[in-house]
Amino acid sequence: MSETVQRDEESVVDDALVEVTNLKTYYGEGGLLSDNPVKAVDDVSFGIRRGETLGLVGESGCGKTTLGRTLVQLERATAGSVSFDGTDVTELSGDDLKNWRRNAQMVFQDPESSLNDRMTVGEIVREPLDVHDWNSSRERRQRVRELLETVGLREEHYYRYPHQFSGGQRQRVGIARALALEPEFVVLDEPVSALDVSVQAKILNLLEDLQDEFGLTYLFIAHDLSVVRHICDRVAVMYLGNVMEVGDGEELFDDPANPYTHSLLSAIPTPDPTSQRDRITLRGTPPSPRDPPTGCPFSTRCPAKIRPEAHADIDDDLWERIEVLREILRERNRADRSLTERARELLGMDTRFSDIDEILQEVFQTPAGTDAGTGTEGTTESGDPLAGVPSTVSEPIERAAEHVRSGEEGRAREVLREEFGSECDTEMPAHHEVSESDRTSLCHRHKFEHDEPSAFFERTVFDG
Amino acid sequence: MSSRMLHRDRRRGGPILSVEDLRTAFFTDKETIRAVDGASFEVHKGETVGIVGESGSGKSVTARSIMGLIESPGEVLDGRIRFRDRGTLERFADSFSGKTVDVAGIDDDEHAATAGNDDFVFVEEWSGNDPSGGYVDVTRASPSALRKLRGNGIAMIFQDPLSSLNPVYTVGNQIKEALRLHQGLRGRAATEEAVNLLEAVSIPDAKRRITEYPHQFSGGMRQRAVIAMALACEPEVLICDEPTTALDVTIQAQILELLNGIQEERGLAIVFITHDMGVMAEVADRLNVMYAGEIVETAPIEELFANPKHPYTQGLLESIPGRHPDDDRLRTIEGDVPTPNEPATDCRFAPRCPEAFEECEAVHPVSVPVNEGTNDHTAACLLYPEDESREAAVETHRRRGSNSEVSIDE
Ligand SMILES: Nc1ncnc2c1ncn2[C@@H]1O[C@H](COP(=O)(O)OP(=O)(O)OP(=O)(O)O)[C@@H](O)[C@H]1O
Ligand code: SF4
Ligand code: SF4
Ligand SMILES: [Mg+2]
Repeated sequence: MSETVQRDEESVVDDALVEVTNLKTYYGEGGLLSDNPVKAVDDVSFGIRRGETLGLVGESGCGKTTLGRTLVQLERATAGSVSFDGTDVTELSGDDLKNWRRNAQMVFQDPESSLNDRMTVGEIVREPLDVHDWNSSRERRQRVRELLETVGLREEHYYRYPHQFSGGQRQRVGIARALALEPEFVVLDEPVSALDVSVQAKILNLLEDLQDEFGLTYLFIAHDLSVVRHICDRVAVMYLGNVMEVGDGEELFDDPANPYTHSLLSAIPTPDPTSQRDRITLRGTPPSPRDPPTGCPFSTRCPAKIRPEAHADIDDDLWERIEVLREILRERNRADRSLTERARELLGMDTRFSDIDEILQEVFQTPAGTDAGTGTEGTTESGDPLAGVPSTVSEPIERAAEHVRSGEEGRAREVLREEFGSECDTEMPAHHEVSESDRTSLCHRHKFEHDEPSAFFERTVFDG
Repeated sequence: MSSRMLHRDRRRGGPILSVEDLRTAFFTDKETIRAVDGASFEVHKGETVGIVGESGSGKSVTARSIMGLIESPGEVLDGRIRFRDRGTLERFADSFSGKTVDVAGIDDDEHAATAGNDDFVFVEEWSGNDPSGGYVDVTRASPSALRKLRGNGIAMIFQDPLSSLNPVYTVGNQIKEALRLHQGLRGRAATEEAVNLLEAVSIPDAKRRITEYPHQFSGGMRQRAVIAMALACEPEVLICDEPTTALDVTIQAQILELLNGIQEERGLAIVFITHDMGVMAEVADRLNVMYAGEIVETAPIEELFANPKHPYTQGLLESIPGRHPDDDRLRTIEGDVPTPNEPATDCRFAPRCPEAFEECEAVHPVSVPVNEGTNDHTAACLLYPEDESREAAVETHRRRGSNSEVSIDE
């Protein structure tokens, strides 16, 4: 029912102003760390239609800001292209780049720190005009006055300093500055996140008015999904440098396709105290973008992760415990590296790596459903922590534990992956088309041999 | 839902914490900021009381006043903050017997007059020679008593967990220090309890984690560690000032779930401060809305969202995206939040209020029931009680307002 999209050649959306193809932005390349860069944006493709607002959502550190900065060329792309009205702007340099920059501007998140406190508001808004030698200086001043009025500030604010303004007013200054050179495209990086709701509402109304008046195209980065839902036409959901799902906003919110979108939406508190939604609470935190999982980026936390055939019937609670065990071993591996600087202190502390039995105890012996709180309750101290576990599960775990005991945690992780892993752990999923309107989602579950994510959630979350 | 019902039932025991007419001001070179200006609310055992309001409305200053953390140029000018916990009362009556006053049989209003200047432990009931009822008044407590109280009775977690963690000690050592101070645990016993606490806040591999430093923890994990430290003090009341604001939604969901679990298990009373109405709808049993230093509306959470009465609360709820999916434009409140510099002689919301009428600029509204049939929904607005005529309602506010002025100057 769903088909894999080959995006390398064909256009992603109709009438695209911006087209992003296989874009990668890595940090730390070339230097000492060249073999282990931070993969902030890792092979992303999508389009932004002329005049629309594309929302970009995801957790902090998932690469939203880097992606936004790369689109306006404040960051150099490592690979891939950003085509703007047909021109690949990652190829531009010198005067061509400077000229093009007028077309693409950015408004930053923090109205506190994004404005230079030593410049007056007038100077701040005028700066881009000066840099681009825009007309005569009298015309520039006039233009600034118009801009201040456009964003709802007053002429007399020209000679004031940013610190004399409230957060909402400072954000208006940032917007006026971004509009100075009449760009076509504006990246708004969390423009209302630092503002109170009543102020936020005014800025959102202003942004919509400006879009109508000047025909602007927006990339709107945010983590508040109710804001995104209100202002965006289409939405892209990012996780660990990847776009997990992208498509029509209403559709995506009402009927999410990707397991990560499902989880993200369910985590958001709704301003309705009578709501009785079931929540999917994800375990742990996103992995480091230096060391993303081999298969699907979401595989370490995905509640819908595909199980191998042999273990399809294990009960959900036990399966969750196995995942927790794997996560602990992965986490120890990460922690390990950052500990080299503490090697001295660790000398003599051989206990760190020999306590696999305590870990098994912690993971498999605490009563079910006690993840929040009952840790102080007594557990059966002695005895085999895997006693109540079927042998198909306990046997491979024992094998892995043996590897840990002999200091080979890498082998232990491998044993667990071979036994309990699936294609989610080993293969990067493709972008599957999931609706008539070209929405796509990155997940193996869209392949015909598996249950769709929504069918999975229907079954486990809402029945269990 | 059922847990909310449960909370309702628990309220019968009377409040564990009551804040009455609290006034806290900051005296800066430029101006006097009346950050909290006559706030009153109650917290019962096992319930979560929310305080919501825009930036600068006085939420954090309220929290810091309860914790006895106001420092120069700030000062708690007036009001009572009564903490009614029997264990604390017994301990304090014992350690601070010279500052303890017997007010058994004395009218509530006369307590202050009965007490000596620096008395702060008030005993209302005795069972034999032991105090069995009464309270500690935080606003009168000495610095050493406050330190004791912060350890044992009331704990607080902040938006930035790093402000509560010391970067040069391991997380384990910091929790063990709290355990030593508050429960007298040392050595192996302390280490074991520290591991238990980290497990209680769902930090996996706790044994290894206690050997790590705060910078090796993610933001969500740090907040868990801070919660573990607060639990080490076995508090009765936990004050949470925007504990999830700096976190991502998925991590926020984890922390909210954790707090909920801890509350149910330990019967904690929680004061939860946030400006996020979504989070509030999820956690709070009762909600207080703050505006310019005052609490302008109080009600059970469902009631407040379904029937907001104060024009400010109405405006605030209206401006949340998604309340009116069919409207293109978001609804807004005109103007900006004022900074209160003078005692109020009018309604501080009047310049922005779509319902304002003449008296709003001449009479300071006090908290009144929104109508005759209710006593757990109050608003500080001249339109209420709504079943009284406008003149009568205004008169009520004028009279009650001038009474309270008198009692302040006494
Ligand atoms: N140490 C201080 N010195 C001077 N003024 C202060 C101080 N602390 C707070 N204030 C003032 O007191 C008022 C209330 O501040 P408070 O921090 O309680 O607001 P809040 O409701 O917590 O806001 P936010 O949502 O921004 O956290 C503000 O006007 C603030 O500027
Ligand atoms: S590919 Fe597997 S791990 Fe990734 S989102 Fe789909 S089900 Fe989850
Ligand atoms: S007292 Fe008057 S101005 Fe104040 S909120 Fe009520 S109606 Fe509005
Ligand atoms: Mg605050």
